[in-house]
Amino acid sequence: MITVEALTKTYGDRRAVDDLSFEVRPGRVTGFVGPNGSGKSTTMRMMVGLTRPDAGSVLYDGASYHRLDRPVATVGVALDASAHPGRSARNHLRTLCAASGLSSSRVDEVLGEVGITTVADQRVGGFSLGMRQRLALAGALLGEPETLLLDEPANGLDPDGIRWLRSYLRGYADRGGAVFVSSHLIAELALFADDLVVIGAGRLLAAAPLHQIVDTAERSVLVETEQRNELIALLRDRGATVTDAGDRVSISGTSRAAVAQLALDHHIRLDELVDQQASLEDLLVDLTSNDAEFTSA
Amino acid sequence: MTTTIETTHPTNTSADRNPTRTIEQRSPGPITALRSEWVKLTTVRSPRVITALTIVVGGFAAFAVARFVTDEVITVANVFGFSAVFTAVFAAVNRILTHTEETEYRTIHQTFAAEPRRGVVVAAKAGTAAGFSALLGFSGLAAGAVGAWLAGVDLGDTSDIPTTIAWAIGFSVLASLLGLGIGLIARQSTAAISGLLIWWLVIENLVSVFASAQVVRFMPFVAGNGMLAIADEGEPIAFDRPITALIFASYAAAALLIGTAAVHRTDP
Repeated sequence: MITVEALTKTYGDRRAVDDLSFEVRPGRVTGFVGPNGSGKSTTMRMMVGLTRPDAGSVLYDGASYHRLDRPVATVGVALDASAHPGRSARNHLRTLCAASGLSSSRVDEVLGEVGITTVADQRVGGFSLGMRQRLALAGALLGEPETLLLDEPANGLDPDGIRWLRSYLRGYADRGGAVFVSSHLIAELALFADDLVVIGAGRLLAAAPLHQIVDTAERSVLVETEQRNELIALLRDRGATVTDAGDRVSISGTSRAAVAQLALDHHIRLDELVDQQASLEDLLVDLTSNDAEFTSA
Repeated sequence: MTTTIETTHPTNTSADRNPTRTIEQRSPGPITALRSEWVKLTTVRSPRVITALTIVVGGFAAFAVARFVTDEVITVANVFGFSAVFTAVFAAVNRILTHTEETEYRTIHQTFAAEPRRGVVVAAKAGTAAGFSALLGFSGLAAGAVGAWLAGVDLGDTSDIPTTIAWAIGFSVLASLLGLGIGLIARQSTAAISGLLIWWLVIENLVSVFASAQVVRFMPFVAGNGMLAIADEGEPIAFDRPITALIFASYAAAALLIGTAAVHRTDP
């Protein structure tokens, strides 16, 4: 388990990460979400000792990254899809194997695992961003780590690659690994993340299971009827909030069943009656534009 | 402030996921870091290109001197070491690249993630620099000997050959360590290489024109050249070879120390 505690980093006058605390548990995919410049990458770099925090700590089952006996067996890190362009994919992984004290036989295994065996001996300079992302993931997998720390791993992947990545990371967590993955593709993350850590301007806005965050989204009922004015008047009499939504009206402050009963009681014919909920994307945009509402205690 | 993410699914431990780890791994340390640096060195083109250049330039320089210098007695024994100056330049440039390329291509992130003790990584780079530049120095000297022999000169007095080899290789090794230190400080290839070459080839020569010999003899590459006992007719070698080596080594050590401190203090 990763425990991030009161992590803080300031660059000049700008506080990039501000008193950030959360946990990443095994067996879970934890999505790390925030707008550009919100401090996601800085946080991830601090999590593996690449950036020195001004305050706070990051512990892996109680030990800091620098104290880990075998770092790559604890955390597989892919912070960017970087490699020397003149080196082949295989040799790039060989350098990492050697640095980590791993046998080079792991190279072929992880190349196969991420599906780039056929280009293993080609220079990385000729790789697409998607191929380099797979290579970065292969590097993270070398030590069979307990935790994967991935910064925007879906960048540059084609739809098939994104689907593969989603399935791979989901499977990794289902087998007991902890996956901590940042992304700006919120809808994509919602398809496979168990938990979300949301930050804005370096501060924690929410850290909770995905379903809990989704449940906080505002719900409304969408109605289409030819007796629009009559229905609106009845709903307003009962304290519901009604807003115009083109051909339809959007009603909040009541339930779908209550609207249906009201319409039935007053012989109002409804052409459409559906529940409506803000998308996760809308919700997170709201979250990051309004820090106070979801700031954790 | 700690927010705990409540889990709703049963959580497995990594031990559940990997009841028995299938891979062998030793703890990272100086040996693994050294191995990694050697793999890095041998899996890109630039060291091979630099080795080829050293051989060609070293061989050609010795051949040209042996062939065209007529006003003194030229033998294989007294011209094969001419390559050492070029070799030192190539070794320094190559070792600058060993860190600046890692910074520019951001592979240094992965290096430090695998071996978080940055001093160990720097020590491994220094070890690789020493080993590679020794090989480079030897290649240049061998090419110089072949070049002179191809020019048709005599072998000459061979008693000084081991000493010449030792000082020439020492110069290459120290130049490469100086290059590594400059690379660690500058973290940018163009700035580091141009800075080194401008200092070496321009600034020291300019200063030599204006400053007294008492000052000039302490300049890094004047001292380094002293290790090769290269001097124009009538120009005294400022210090004995061991002193010049000590001066040049001091510059290399200072660059490495400052570079190591910079690596520790700076986020990659």
